Amino acid sequence: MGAITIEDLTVRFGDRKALASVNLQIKEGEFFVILGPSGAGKTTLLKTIAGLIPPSEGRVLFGDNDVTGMPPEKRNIAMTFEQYALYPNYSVMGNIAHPLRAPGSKLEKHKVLDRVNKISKMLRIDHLLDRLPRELSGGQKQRVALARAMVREPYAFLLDEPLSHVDAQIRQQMRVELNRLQVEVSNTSVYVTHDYQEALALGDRVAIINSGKIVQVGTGEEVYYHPRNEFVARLVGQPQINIIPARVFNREDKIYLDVLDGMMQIEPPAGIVRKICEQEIEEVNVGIRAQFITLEDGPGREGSVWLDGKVYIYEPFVTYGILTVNVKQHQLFILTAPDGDFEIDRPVRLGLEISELIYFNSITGDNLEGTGA
Amino acid sequence: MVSIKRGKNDILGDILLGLIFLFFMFPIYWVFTMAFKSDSDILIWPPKFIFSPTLAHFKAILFNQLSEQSVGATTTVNYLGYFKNSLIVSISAVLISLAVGIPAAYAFARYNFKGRENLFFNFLTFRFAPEMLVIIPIYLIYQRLGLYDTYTGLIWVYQLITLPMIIWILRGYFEDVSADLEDAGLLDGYSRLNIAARIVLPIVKPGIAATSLLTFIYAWNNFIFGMILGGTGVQPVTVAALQFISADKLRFGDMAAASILAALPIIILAVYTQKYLIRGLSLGAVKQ
Amino acid sequence: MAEVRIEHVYKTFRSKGKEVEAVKDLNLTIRDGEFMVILGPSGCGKTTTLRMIVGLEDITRGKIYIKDRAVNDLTPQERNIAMAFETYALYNHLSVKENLLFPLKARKTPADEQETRLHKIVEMLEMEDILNMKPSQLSGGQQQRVSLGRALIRRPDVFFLDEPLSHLDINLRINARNRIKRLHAESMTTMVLVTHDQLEAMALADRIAVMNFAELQQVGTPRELLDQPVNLFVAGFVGEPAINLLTGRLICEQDEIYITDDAKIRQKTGLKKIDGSGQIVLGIRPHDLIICGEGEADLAGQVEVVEFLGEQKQITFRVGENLLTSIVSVSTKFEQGQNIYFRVRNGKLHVFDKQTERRLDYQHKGVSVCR
Repeated sequence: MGAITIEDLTVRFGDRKALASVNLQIKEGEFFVILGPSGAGKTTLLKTIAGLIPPSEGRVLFGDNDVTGMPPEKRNIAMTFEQYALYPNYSVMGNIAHPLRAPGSKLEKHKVLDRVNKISKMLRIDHLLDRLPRELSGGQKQRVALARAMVREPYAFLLDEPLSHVDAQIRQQMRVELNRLQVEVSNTSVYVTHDYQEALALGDRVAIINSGKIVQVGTGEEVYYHPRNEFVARLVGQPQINIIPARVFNREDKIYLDVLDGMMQIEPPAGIVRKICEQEIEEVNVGIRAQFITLEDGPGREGSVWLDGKVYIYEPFVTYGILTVNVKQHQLFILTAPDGDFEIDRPVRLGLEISELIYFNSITGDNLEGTGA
Repeated sequence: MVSIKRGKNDILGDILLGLIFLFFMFPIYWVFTMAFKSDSDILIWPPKFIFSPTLAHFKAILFNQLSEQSVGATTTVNYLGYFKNSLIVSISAVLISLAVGIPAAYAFARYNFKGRENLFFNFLTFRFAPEMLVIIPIYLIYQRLGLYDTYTGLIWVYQLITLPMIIWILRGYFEDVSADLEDAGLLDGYSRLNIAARIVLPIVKPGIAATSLLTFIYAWNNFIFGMILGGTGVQPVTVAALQFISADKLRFGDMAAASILAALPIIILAVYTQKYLIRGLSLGAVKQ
Repeated sequence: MAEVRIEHVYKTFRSKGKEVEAVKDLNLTIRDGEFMVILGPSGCGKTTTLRMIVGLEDITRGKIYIKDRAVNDLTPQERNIAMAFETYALYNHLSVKENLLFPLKARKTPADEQETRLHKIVEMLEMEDILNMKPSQLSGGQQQRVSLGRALIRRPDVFFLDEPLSHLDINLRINARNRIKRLHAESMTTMVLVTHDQLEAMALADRIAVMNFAELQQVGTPRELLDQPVNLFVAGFVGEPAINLLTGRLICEQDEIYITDDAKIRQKTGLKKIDGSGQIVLGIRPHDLIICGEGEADLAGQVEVVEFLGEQKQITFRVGENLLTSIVSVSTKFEQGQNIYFRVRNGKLHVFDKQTERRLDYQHKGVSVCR
């Protein structure tokens, strides 16, 4: 059990860089989530840690030991795979016990049984021990895969999208269960997902990866409220964050932002103004999450600015509604109460909470607030 | 699962299918009846569809008893001996091909080495080339090496039939086995060889069985290699049937009976394992 | 009036000598201009139902009417309906414009009529910029728009969609869902969509028909399904996170209901005592649990897990042997192991008979008056 350090890790497949100079410090006992869209290099990173893919450059360290050249079977790593990878010719029992029966693990027979029984009770699959994998539902397979990983005491757990192939409701239940297991089994875990809710809910820290590069590392709250750039902002949150273009202009020696060609004017906070001046930025993308937009009857409240638009469509859900509004050629999402009644094309006035605005450099996409990595 | 309404066109289609069936099945029917006809019935014109069947041809072949019409024949044929030859050569050829082909197919499926696809295609071209093309040089070489008319020689040359097929089909099976399974095994602490034996091979076992059967059938049915490279000592049944063409007359009845006996093991094998064979083969081969 | 009526429809498949009922005695009326979503888990018969309406599958028994015309013996072409395909099925050698006009040309629609319809569809689906492009040059979202446009340009009586969004990634899915709903609002065409995703159903439907085990379970507006689920299946299938279920007993005392086991919940439900064991299952939706003080609490428990989900927080807490879920605002601060108290939002307590799994609301059989 312990820390994992990744130094300048690059993995090339032919000419393509699957990972480009990745640096990560995963602490002992930490539940570390790697979040990114498909093809970002998440699984490659995990397999490199496991030793299944040799890095082209860089090092992997377990604690102080350089394990870069160590073969996977020697690393004492437990991993679950996206498609479960259960051995179809073994029963559930055989699958879970498999790592304990490996040549390196000289565990006595009855101890193997004890361990399997204990872990399968914990994951509530003790009634399935005699079944073959093909006789299990998706959720059950997932539990068996987890059990096979947890039956040992590995240096670390690596979990590759364990919940992506089960139904939404089971996914939520399993997510809660993983969170509860964290309390019982406090092993270092690296968890890969494309689902931001899983990442926020599970991760002590979250690393966001895009095209083989780490974009941001931080707690769930940090990446949600202080995204490092537009990519992170868009990846985290549902409905997607609203991003609208604005032009910088100077009036009486003060910096203002002109949003959507004169639809709205914002006076950005001093820190942002400084960045704008330093970097000589002419255009800014303004981001605001759907829950920070309110519907206004009259002129906007104190501390808010407003935009006029027309209802595109309204969708009521269980606990909330999503109102989509067209402002000029832009579409904005607004979170509302679940019982709204919005006719299409009805004019609406949107109040934007000014303190919740996020400013991005329109060329680089970086957050002008300048969060730490 | 779509249920289809039947109309006029379907009936026409049925008739057409029936005709095609007749076209292909008639020769088989004819050989079959010939084997049970007496020699005089065979040669009669117009052909007889109703006749009194006789087992004379089968007796002649199996017990080396000459039927009365063949009294003047100059050769006697030890048919069961040829049967044994076929079995020895075909089974050995398949076993050797499996021993070499399983690791080869696995390597083609899993390792990305230089020139992989070229080499793989190369193996397949062995099946493209007509056997006649290589048979003369091989014959000459075999004469020099003393491999002519030996089991070793025939088994060796049969690799041209069996090995490419085994590699070609089994590669598909191995590719079907998720690489994750092997990765999982590695992380569980097993060596690659261990994983192959404990996990991969048990999974592809039905595929290996189906492929072996199929290659066995191909090997059994081969004619040219046995005819040119085998003397009377090791000739397979397919060639042996020819011996019934003697200098003085064609022994049609004996030939027919011999053909049926030669085909019988294959037919039984194919029918018995049909479901298995189709399922096994469609698994790997389709998903290339 | 493009109304679809399904009357006592059955579908039986024969497989391996056994008869399997894929749809059993289905009765459903899809109103003119309505957006109907058929929702259910895989294998529930929803896709078979759709395929019978459009004519890709024979009807074993019963009648289906479109516009008051029985369509059992009509081919799909004769039914004047359109269907969106998962794979878009665009003609790659034709431009977007030619793709859109294709169904009209096939019907020899007059040229000026073609122009007006094209103009309308292009405007509705915002396709001005891509009209001269080939499908291969379009993004997935654009291809879907063209595919929708081509289906709608010939003004079908009913428009069918079979899991149209299931293969799109999450952000594209929201856009596409939005667009389909908007399209319905503008065109007022009767639409029928089949899905297993209850969130999608909620977002789109005027009414939802929930199916399970080849049978229709309930038809109603999304609100009705949430607030008045007729049985445990519907209650459990609709809503995310899943509804909390607790087993217990009904006890009548002073016109109030006490349900005991691990928790005492006292709420006026207008419910009458049931005969027999009185065994019930209690359903409470996660968002109908409101954090409150100990004094007014219906439920008391210990916090097990607190999860920050971005827009909201999910608290999982333990009540006796049960783990319950609640959805609270992000500003709520709780930690693992802390005591937590909830009351149930008024009128949002769902009570089901444990044996029949049916909702106990009204004077069902087997329910007698308390007192």
